[in-house]
Order: sequence, then C-alpha cells, then structure tokens
Amino acid sequence: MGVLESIILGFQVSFQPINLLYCFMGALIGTLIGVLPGIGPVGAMAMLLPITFHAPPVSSIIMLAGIYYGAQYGGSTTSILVNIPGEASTVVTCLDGYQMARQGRAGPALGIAAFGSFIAGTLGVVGLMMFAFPLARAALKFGPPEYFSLMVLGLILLTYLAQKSLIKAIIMATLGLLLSYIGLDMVSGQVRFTLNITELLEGVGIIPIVMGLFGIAEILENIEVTITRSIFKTHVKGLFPTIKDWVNSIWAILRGTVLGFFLGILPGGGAVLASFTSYAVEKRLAKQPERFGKGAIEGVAGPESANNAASIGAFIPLMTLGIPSNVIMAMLFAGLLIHGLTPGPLLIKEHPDIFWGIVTSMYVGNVMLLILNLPLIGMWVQLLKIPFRVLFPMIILFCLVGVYSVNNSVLDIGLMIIFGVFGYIMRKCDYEPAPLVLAYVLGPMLEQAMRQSLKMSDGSFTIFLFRPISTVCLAICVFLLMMSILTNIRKRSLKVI
Amino acid sequence: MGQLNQIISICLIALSIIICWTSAKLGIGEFRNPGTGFMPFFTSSLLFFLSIGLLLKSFIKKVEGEDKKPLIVREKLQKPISLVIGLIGYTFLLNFFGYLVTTFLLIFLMFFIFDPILKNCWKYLIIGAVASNLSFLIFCKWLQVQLPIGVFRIGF
Repeated sequence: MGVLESIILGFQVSFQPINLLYCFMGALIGTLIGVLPGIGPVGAMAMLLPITFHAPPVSSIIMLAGIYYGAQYGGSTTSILVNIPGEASTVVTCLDGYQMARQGRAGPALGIAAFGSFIAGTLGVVGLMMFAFPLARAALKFGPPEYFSLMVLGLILLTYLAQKSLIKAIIMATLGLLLSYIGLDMVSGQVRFTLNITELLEGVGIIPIVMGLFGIAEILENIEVTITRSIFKTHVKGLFPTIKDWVNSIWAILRGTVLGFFLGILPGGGAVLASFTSYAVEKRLAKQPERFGKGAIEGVAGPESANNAASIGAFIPLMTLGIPSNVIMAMLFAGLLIHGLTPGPLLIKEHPDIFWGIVTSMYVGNVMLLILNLPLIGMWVQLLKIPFRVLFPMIILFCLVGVYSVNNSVLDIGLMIIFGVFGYIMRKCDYEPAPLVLAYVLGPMLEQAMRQSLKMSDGSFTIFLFRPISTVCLAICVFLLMMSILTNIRKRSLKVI
Repeated sequence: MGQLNQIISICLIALSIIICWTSAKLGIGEFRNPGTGFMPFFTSSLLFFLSIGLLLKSFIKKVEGEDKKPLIVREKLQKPISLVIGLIGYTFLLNFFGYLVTTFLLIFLMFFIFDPILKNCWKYLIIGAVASNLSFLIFCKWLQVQLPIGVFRIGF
C-alpha cells in the first residue's frame, strides 16, 4: 500500500463518528489537564486507561494520544496567564508569555502559542508519515542485540536528562526493572518475587504504579502548602497576532518544529527537552537577546511549537520500533498491549488502519485543539478559578475508581497508595519517577532481548559490540555517562575554587 | 534531607541484598543459558553498588557540612499524613461497607482535610453525598464498572 492510499485509509478511520468523538474527548481532556496544574497527562492517561477497555482499540489510542498533545496546548494557557506552568514542557513559556500578559499582550501570546502549536503539530504529522515507513522497514532487520542496546540507550538518555541527580535517576530505573520482574518468568514459567500473593502472578499493573507515582504523589506534595493562584487581571483580546508578530515568530515556529520533532524521536527525549532547547536556540539566534525574559514573542512561539512537534515525533520510536521513548509513550504502549496490539514494525503491516488512523487523527485533533483553544479561551481561564480543595478530592476519587475497575481488586488500590507514598518520599529526595516507569515498561523486553542475545552468542557479550547498530547505541551510552561524570567533576572542582 | 537520603539508601541496600539472595535461589544460570534469576541478580547488584555510593556521598556531604536542608517540616506533613490514613482506611473498608458509603465518607474527610472549617461540615456532607452518588451513576451505571455493594447492599 502506498503512502497516499495509507493516508486516505487513515482519514477514513479517523473521520468515523466514534473516532471523531474520542478524538474530541481526548483533545478536550488534554486541554483541561494542561490548564489545571496539579495533574499531568501521564496521570490523566493512567486514570482514563481503564475506561478505554470498553472502547474499540483505535478509538482508545486516539483519545489517549489526544490527551497527550492536548495537554501541550492547554499548558501554555496557565503559563501565560498565571505564570504557573500546567505542564513541565510549558515551564519555559512562562518566561516571556507571562511578561507579554503583564504588558497587555496576553491575546497575541495565547494566539501565537496556539497557532505555533497547530503549525508544529501539522508539520509533525507530515514528518511522522514520512519517517514511519522507512524506519519500520529498517526495524524489521533488528535482532535481540540491537533491541537490547537501543533500550539501554533509551534508559541512559532518560537518566542523563534527569534534572536532579544521575545516580538517583539510574537507581529509579533499576527499581523499575526490578518491579517488571515480579510475576511469572516468561521463559521458564517460574514464579518470581510475588510474596505468595496470587494477584501478583501477572505482575504489578502499570496503572497502580503510574497513578500512585504521578497522581497521588503529586497531590500529597501539593497539599503540603495552601496554594493561592492569582490570575493576572487583563482583558484577553486580539487573539490573532499582528503581521509584525508573525514576522518575528514564523522562523522561531519553523525552527522549533524541526528541532522538537527530532528531539522527540530520540529515546529519552521529549517535549520538555524540546521546549528548553528551542528557547536556548532562539535566544542565541536573536539580534537582541536581552529582549528574552521581557516579553519576546519568539520566546513563546519557538518552545510552544517545539513541544508540540516533539509530542508527535515521540510516536515514531513507539510505532516503528515498539520502544516507548518517554513515560507518556510508555502509557500508550501499555494501552496498545491491553487492546491486544503489539507496537512495532509489524503494526504498520498488519494493522495499517490502526496505525494510519492514529496518525491522521492527530491532524484532526490539531484542528479541534485550535478551535478549542482560541474561541474558548475565556472558559479555560474560568476553569483556573476552581479551588484545589475541590479539584483534588475529585482527582483522587477518579484515581480510586480507575485503579479498582481494572481488576476489581482492592489490592490495586493498596498498591497505588504504596506507590503514591513512595513517590512522595522519593520526590522529597530528588528521585524522579519517570525513569522508573520507562524501565518498568521496557523491563520484560529488555530481559528477553538480553537472554536471547546471550543464547545466540553462546554466552559471549561481544555480540553487543560486533553489530554496528548495537555498537553505536552502546558507544553513545558510554559517551553520555562519561559526559555526565566529567560535568560533575568540573562542577565540584569549580566549587572548591 | 541528608538524613532522609541516608535512610532511603539503607533501605535500598537492604532491598538489593534480599533480591540478590532470592535471585540466587531462583537460579542465575550461566551466560550461555541465563536462568530465571539472571537479570534480577545483576539489576539488584547494580542497585546495591549505586545505593552504597549514594550513602557514602551523603556521609561526605554531612562531614563537609553541605547538607543543611531540614529533614522534614512537621507542620507541612499533617495534611498528607491525614490523607494517606484516610486512603488506607478506604482500602480496608471498601469491600465491607461498599462503594457508596465508603466514598461518601472519604470525600467528606478529604474536603475536611483540605479546608478544615467546622462550620462548613454540613456543606461537605452534602458534597460527599452528591459526589459519591454521581460518581456511582457515571462509573457503575454508565461505564459498567463493577463496584462493591458491601453489607448494606446499596447500589444495585
């Protein structure tokens, strides 16, 4: 099937009324999640995953994907109007977006964020269409050693990008791997680490882990202090940027799109890295860099475009290699598995309707988001006024019912609470939860690839070094670890001086 | 924070030793034919060495006097602890009292924890009743989620 035929097939799937409805729900919930600080897209996806059990697979994934890119749109609203990023990827939007709002230019800031996101999202979908086919074809040639090294690279990249401590990030990744070993060993059928609890034979579910680490832990952290939000009192008008704004922003949008897309593809990369890198690039390229941080429109346009392009680019490793590149993709990975679909190179071949349906739905979703975000901006601003004391009980209630409904098991609620408390304590000591979740998802595949590789090579580890793709991946891993160690040594020596 | 870091490191060291031991019992196998405990053994060994490193690092920081951040601010913990106790209670009572009753109690408790004003109690009771019934209708009737009915058999 050619690309054009595939795209037509994709639009046929995504334009089905049920899929349009799910796409709209995803975009709406995503925007809502992005607007409301306190719970991110990972927590929201975990909460809604059980609900999608009753829906067709393609509709479910369309909705979950909509939540992801919708949250990137919505997150900018709080960054610009309240100076509180709804999402980690919109932190950098606060710098210039809020300053623009203070100068009475909230409208153009919100407008350029929405248009930039739309352009980036659209171009990102085109990029996804272009790259998915050749990469999936190449992935068919991958053997267990290549998969193993690629997964190790993904984990190392994610830990390398950890904002706090590299060692702590690796510790979280090892904990994630250990969690993934709980249950039946898929090769020998032997029971591992179940503590004689029958319900753990199938392992610990991803939903209690994610809801605990991202939902409950987040709330526990937020309720420590009473948060007061003051919405900057400005009349949001003139959402359409002027010609001057467009002239200033268009290259930032295009650069952000390309940069974000490729950073999104990288295992371990994602929207957060993309937005920060785009801001740094724009500041470096600007004729007057001193304008940045004081309301430069490029400082909003670039990062907003980058985070949306990255969220689309991140689908490439998941859909073509079957490797989730970040936590959100890990959630989508789990979603696909629950519906009996294995992400990877064969997904495009065996289920073209699902693959292209999801891809084209992103385009439809981007149009929906533009409509949702611009004319309804007033409604989203009003939502910011919902007090946390009302919001948090509702989120907790949703988590409880969501986690219970998966297996009708009280044990899952208990596990969610345990992971919530664990996540809360670990956050206090700068342990980040993302590497744990990614390692947990990659764990079974990583173990299988490792064992198969060793069997293939009769116990020789050189198999990982004599295959070009594997060697390159491992070389990058070593380089990143060395870089991190050297940076730490340099920091310490500077401190001593 | 340093003290909490040390406690976490010690817990992780203990955990890694237990997993190493259990993995060895499961059978590590050999490189040409890895056993069930192969990956858990090496992963927990990595965890062991990293935790030891982190523990040593926190001791060095303590000696150098770098780590002066207070361990925990007790006043800040009141609400999180109350919420966790409430959630644990919910887990134990859910099957016995059923979804509607336990959820009503939990919502009332959460509102009280987040905004502890006695004169608002009646308001929280109403919100608890409305929210639990509404969520029951959404999840049980609309989304067909099977929720426990408990000894009172409310919510068929």
